[in-house]
Order: sequence, then structure tokens, then C-alpha cells
Amino acid sequence: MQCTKNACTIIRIMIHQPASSFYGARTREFILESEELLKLHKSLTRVYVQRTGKPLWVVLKTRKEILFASNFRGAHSRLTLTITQQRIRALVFAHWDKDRKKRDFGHLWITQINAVISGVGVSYSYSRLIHNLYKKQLLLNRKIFAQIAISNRNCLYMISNEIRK
Amino acid sequence: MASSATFSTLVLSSSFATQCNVSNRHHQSCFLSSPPKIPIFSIPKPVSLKLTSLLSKTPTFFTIPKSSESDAAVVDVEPDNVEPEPEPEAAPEPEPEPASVVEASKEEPKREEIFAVVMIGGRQYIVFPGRYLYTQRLKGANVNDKIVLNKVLLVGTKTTTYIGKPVVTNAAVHAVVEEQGLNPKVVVFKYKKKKNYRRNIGHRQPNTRIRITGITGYQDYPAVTLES
Repeated sequence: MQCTKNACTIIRIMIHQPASSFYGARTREFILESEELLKLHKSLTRVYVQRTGKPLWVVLKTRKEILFASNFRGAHSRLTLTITQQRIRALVFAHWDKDRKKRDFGHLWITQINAVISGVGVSYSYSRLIHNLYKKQLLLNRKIFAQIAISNRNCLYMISNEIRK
Repeated sequence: MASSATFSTLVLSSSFATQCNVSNRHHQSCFLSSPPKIPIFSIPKPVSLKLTSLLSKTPTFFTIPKSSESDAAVVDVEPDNVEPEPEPEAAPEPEPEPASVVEASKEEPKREEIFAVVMIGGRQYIVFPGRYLYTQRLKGANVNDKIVLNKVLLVGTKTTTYIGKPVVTNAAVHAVVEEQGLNPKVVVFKYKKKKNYRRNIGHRQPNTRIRITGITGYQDYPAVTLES
């Protein structure tokens, strides 16, 4: 069988774009379109199997890894061996960064609160705010404070005045 | 690639939708806990009416008059449904919005300008009536259950706040459980180099979607206002 991308497959996809898919019942057309895409995916993997001579499962696995690394720079998205390495690094860094994310947001909130509070008055700062917070037994955390500082600054001033007393 | 044709139409419609959204939402701060998702689904409809007039190859006659008449009207109305929703809840300082000031009072349903800070599952959330929120999975809560959240740490309106020390007594936030689902999948990939150790684990944390219906019971608490 000649497995080549030819004009027929392209035309088949392009003809199948019903105009009614833009409003009304979109699910039916979406299912039809996704079936077309699945058929295309199957025929493309058969092309790869034929051209590279590798077994189907290898082709499917490498295509998936290449998809994961498809927006990497240079050889990291093109060469299969470097793709596996870079994919591992990407996943590992993503895993580490889940903890970094908590740290980064904490720093951000503290800086934001500090910026707003320092504008309040003479020698008032983030550290004094937090100290007063604990003295008056409030439970609000820095994320909420930062959110209030951004969106509703009067509320933050009210809180800081109340705590200072 | 042949599939780029289908992808390009999908991408066009989505890029229109995001362009429509960016002007409304770019003043919204990034950690607001519940972005209004429902209005956004109303966007692709009128926007893609615009799109069919662009793709003039499609010979369906009933679309063209529809798009020309209702195009201008619909595209004006729909963004205003999105804009006033984040507007009154997000900031009392009025942000300059291009088209929403006139239509805001007409389009948007009456909503009290109030917010509360509630502690659920060990985390604190800012909560507005009418919006939804994803929290940790509440065990034993079924869909359409009414829930009362008692740990209210702060209640705020435009002019006054009720600051809880630590909790605003007798305040309650009423909510309805909408859905018990799972968070998007996180891949936990453990790897030690040169030791032949790798583990690929996917994890979906269970969550609950809650829609806030109202905030009550704070009126008797000593209020704090800004005496300027």
C-alpha cells in the first residue's frame, strides 16, 4: 500500500468542515472531526513505520515523547535521544518547582504587603503588621492580605488601623 | 500538515475569544479564586458569527444575514455580560473600562457588594456571592447539598469591614455543592541520575466545586470603617 500523504487526505479533511459547526449543536461535529483526526493519526503512524522500519509501538512512544518536547529549542525538539533526556529534565524540574512555587508566591505576597503597608505611615512596616497580627489573634494569611492589598486597599488600611490600637 | 487546516479554524476561533477576553480581564488580579467561567462560554457564539462572515467560502445562506444584523448588537452585549461581573467584586476603585459603564447597570443582576474570607480545608479563600470555588474534597457532601461555612475570618463591604478575631462570630457563608471532581493531572516524576531509578506517577487530587450563595450573620459584629 502506498502510504503517502497526498492531496486526497488533505481534501478529505478540508471538505469536512460543516459550517453549522460554529453554532448550535457542536458536539456532533466535534465527534466527527475528531474521528477524522484519529484516522489521520493512524495513517501517519503507518507512514512512519514504513519509512523508518521500526515497530509500531516504538513509533507511537517516540511520537508521544516528541509531542511532549515539541516546543523545546533547537536539537532538543528534533533528535530522539536528546528528546528523552530533556523530557526527563523537564519533568523533574516541574516536580521540584511545585515546592519552589510555594516559596515564590510567599515571597511575592510578602513584598506586595510590604509595599502597601510602608505607604501607610511613619515607620510602619510589614514586620510590625505581622507582629500586631499575632498579638490581636487574627488568622488571616499573607495570601489574603496580598489579595486585599491589590484589589481593595481601603480594607487593608482598616485592618492595619484596627490592629495597631 | 493536512490537519493544520482543521487546527487553524479552531485556533482562529479561540484566538478571537481570547482577544475578546483579554481586554476584560487583564485588570483582574491573578489569584482571584473563582474566575467567572460561565460568561466566557457565551463569548464564542457571537465571535464565531463574525468568523463565518470572514470565511465567505461557505455557501450557507442563512448564516450571512444572521451575522450582519446581529453582529454589531451581539458583540456589544456579550462583552458587557463579562465585564460587569468581575468589576464590582474586584475593586471599589473604578478601573476605566471602555464600553461597560453605560450598560453595566442594565445588564448585570442585582448583587450585594460584599466579600468574605473563609477558611476551608486549612486554606483561606476570598469569596463572593454568586461565584464558584474549588476546594479540597468535602467528604460526605453530595451534589446540590447546601453547606454552611462557619470559619469566616473577615467580611467586607465597600465601606466597612468586620475583622474577625479570629473569627467573625455568628457569620456564615452559605454555599451549594456543585460537583465533586478531580484536579487536573499532575505528573510526579522521580529520577535519580546514574542509578537507574525513575518513577512516573500521575496524581489527581479530589476537589469539590462550591457555589457561594450568600453571606449572612455579620451585622451584629463591631464594624470598622475608615475615618479619614
